[in-house]
Amino acid sequence: MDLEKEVRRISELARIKVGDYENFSKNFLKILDFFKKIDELNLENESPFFYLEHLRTELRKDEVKEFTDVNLLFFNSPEKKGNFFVAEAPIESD
Amino acid sequence: MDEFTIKIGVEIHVQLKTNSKMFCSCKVDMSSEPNENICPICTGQPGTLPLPNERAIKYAIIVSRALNSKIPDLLYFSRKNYFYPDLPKGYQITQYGISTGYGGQVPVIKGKEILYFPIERINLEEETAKSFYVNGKVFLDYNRCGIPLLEIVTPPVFDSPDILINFLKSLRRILIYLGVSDCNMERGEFRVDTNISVNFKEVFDHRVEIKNLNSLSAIKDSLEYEINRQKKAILNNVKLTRETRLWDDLKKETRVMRTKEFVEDYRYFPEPDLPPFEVNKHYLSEELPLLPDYYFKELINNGVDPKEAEIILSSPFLADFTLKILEKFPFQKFKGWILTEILQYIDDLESLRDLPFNHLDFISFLEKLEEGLIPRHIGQDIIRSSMTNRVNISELIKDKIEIKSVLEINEVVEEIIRENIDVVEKIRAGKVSAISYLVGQTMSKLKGRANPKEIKDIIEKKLNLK
Amino acid sequence: MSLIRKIISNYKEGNNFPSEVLNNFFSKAKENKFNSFITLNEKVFDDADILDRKVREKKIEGRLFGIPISVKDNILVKNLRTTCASKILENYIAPYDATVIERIKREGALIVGKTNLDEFAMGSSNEYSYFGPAFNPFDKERVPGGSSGGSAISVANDEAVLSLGSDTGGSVRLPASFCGVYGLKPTYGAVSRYGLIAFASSLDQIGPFSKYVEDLEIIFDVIKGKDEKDNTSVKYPDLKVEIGYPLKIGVLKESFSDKVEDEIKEKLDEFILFLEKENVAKIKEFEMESFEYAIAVYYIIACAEASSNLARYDGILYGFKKKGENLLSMYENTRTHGFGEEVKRRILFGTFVLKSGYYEEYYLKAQKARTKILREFLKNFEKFDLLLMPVSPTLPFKIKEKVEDPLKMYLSDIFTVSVNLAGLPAIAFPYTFSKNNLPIGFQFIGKFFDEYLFFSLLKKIESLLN
Repeated sequence: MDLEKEVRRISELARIKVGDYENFSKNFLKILDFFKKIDELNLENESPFFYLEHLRTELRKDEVKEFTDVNLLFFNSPEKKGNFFVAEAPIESD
Repeated sequence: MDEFTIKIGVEIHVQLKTNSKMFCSCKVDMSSEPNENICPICTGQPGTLPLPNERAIKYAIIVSRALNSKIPDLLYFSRKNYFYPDLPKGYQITQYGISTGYGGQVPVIKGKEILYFPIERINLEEETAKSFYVNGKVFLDYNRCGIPLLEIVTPPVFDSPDILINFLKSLRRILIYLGVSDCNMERGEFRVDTNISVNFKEVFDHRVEIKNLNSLSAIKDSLEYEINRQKKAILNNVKLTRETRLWDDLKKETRVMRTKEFVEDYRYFPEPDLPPFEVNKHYLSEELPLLPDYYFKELINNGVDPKEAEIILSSPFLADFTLKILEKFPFQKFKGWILTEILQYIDDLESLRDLPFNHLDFISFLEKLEEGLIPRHIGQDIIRSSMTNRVNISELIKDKIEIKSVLEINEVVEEIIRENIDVVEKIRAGKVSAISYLVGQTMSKLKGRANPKEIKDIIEKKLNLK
Repeated sequence: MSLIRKIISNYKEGNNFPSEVLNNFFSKAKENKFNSFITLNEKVFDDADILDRKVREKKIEGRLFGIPISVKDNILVKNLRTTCASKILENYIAPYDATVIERIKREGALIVGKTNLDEFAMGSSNEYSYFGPAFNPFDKERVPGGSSGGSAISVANDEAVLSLGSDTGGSVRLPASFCGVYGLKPTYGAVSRYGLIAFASSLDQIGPFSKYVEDLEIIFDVIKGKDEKDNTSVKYPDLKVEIGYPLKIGVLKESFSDKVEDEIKEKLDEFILFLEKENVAKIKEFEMESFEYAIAVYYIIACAEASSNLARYDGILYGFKKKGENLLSMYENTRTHGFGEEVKRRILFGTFVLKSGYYEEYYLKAQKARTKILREFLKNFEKFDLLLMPVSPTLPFKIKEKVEDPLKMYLSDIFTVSVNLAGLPAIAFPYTFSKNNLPIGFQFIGKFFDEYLFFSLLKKIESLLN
């Protein structure tokens, strides 16, 4: 695995730039090695989502409830025009 | 000539017709002002959690049952992670790995036959916001964001655009019959992305996805264009690649979509905010509405022509109405009244939910026509007036031909007999056919508002001929 | 001993008014000697005035009537700024109340302000705050513990009677222990997460701080229980606590390993002897194979969920935005400059462990290990009523001691994270002080819904120690 390449790739996916990819990758590797510790555990018969098993989602009745503070949502937005929220367009839109 | 093989598959997104959104209580209403129906949940405000809509899940299960898909005991949601301005949380809640419906098939009407085409899976997910692009900016309306969306995916099993169109028409019709969506393509309630690969002998991996298809004709035209393009490329030894192309409905061509900023990796994982839930047993046992293939078979068995059957099938209401009439009358007796007279007043047959009269009114209308009580042109007037003013035909019939009571008929018949003693004598002498003269006289005195057969019976009784 | 009861009975006897009591706490909060507050709620005096009137009218109702409470700045209080100690939410005004806030407001609580934390609750020392580190009230050169450092300080330094924090991997217990107060991490699902800004959804739980265990019980009574806005919340069972002393308590073998500072081990021994001498408990050592893996498992799962939960901070609907020439560069500018280093590091790790090719290797394995941890806990509960261990392997450490070495910082959590992975409740309680006058505390871990067992036991211990 070319770790620096991988770090560049995840930085693309997460939309977060890293200052020094080489150095970051070095430190990244240290932590990854630490994570790898779990390989020592025998997990053959373990189910992966056991922790969810005692919980159950309850469904909501299909009823309309209006949110009355839409202005607060607009208040927090960094860019808006009229009734719209606005952002930079993606490259593929043109 | 053809050693080419064509493989077409589709991914369909259907907006479900619920009152509120998939994961919050905001109103589903695309006619509202922009960003009127939004709340902290559907705008992905920090700290909010999704609350799944019971009806949306019910609808997803109904569709899965209608298409014979397998439904697991426990349903789960997953997160699909990617960035886009129309996706406020940076992930879409969808289903992955475990779907609401697995496998199943769609009965497709083709000519007189019903063919079955497989589907792969049915997933429930949330709709994204509506975006408009102006001068390098994107304008966002989150009213649409969070509307429940059903994703139906097929394997690449269609070998021609035509059969795919039949498939889509049939599927749309089923969803409309189930009442889960209006499937209006113009409004984006039924959206189709296609994928197609044309192969020559060998099989290559150059599946092309086509997007921006807003109508059935766009789907058909784009596939035909793409088949030609791929065939030509193969014959000219041009290498085809796996890509996404956009359909340009004005230029009638597909072109490569400018690649997204980079390829996504969706990093699906189980949605930790939504533990699994059992499928409600009622949804599994509740009776489903009758579906188009049932009506189609019934219509065909009653001698309805497949083309006419397809027209009738467009509206679940009309299909049901027609079957009820068929219990009393053969199709030939009334097809003109429905297909020509009534339908000329209906703009959007698919959304037809009722007529100004019920099937019993229509049956009695047909009986009166049959008995000659209503002349054909009066019948046409009645239908026009009924359809344009939304008045029950039974009301109109009463106005046009107010049938006289037996008592009134009796009175008039007695009068006529008194006035035509000579004719009566002739009848008594054996010239029975002269009765029709008396009937005619009675009819004209009653201004046609009686049944001639009934008048004849009364005259015969009066003259002791029976 | 209950400070809440004392304050309320003073109101009832007319000795004090809520605005007076509030002022005592608020003025200390305003001094902000240890940088415990990010935002003060200046409007709280209006609420206090209303309560003053109620005192005059002798209408004192509510279990938290006139009690000054501070709230960690990752829990939304409507119309107050909620920053999560991040630049990316520096000016975010909460558009709604978290469920816990609704519940404490209903009982008459007075919200003093929003307390400091590690950015997005990611940290063990409260040094990773955009608003600067908080300081340990017992030694300003040392950390208060994190991530809910500000909450623990506010209670320890009488800036509030109670505080609400959140515990994802020890974030309530560690600062409680470092600041010498009680801190409860409830059973997963016992308290609604609606309005808690998510770090790792399957691990996060809101938990209270107090100086006296009885007060912890009072506020837990108010905030616990099913919330229809949070599908991971559960109905709290109606259990009667009947304790048969001596309890069977297991002490984790690793509590005495060389990773733990000697002074902590000595005091733990002393505490064990005390419990046995007073016939409160019989104590035996227990082992957990998965214990030493818990940190790795925890960071994989927590980072994975965080990478998805923090995707919503993208500069579009709210929060900090740094413009770009197109969407991609805006996203990158905003997220690269809006988040601090530790948050970015965790997002990147989380993205990595969910990425195709690594998902099975890391995320899925970690989930399986999580099951193993829970099973090992449950097995130990067949033999023991409760488990006992330190909260931290060290005394409060010096500021900057670990901040440059994430791995070293992560290891502060070795005794706390496994509880979150298993979803079990745990309570950190103050026991004594070190030679340098730094607080030393331990934690009890219980079965699901053992909170009231903690309260009963600790009330007994509290009275025995005084």
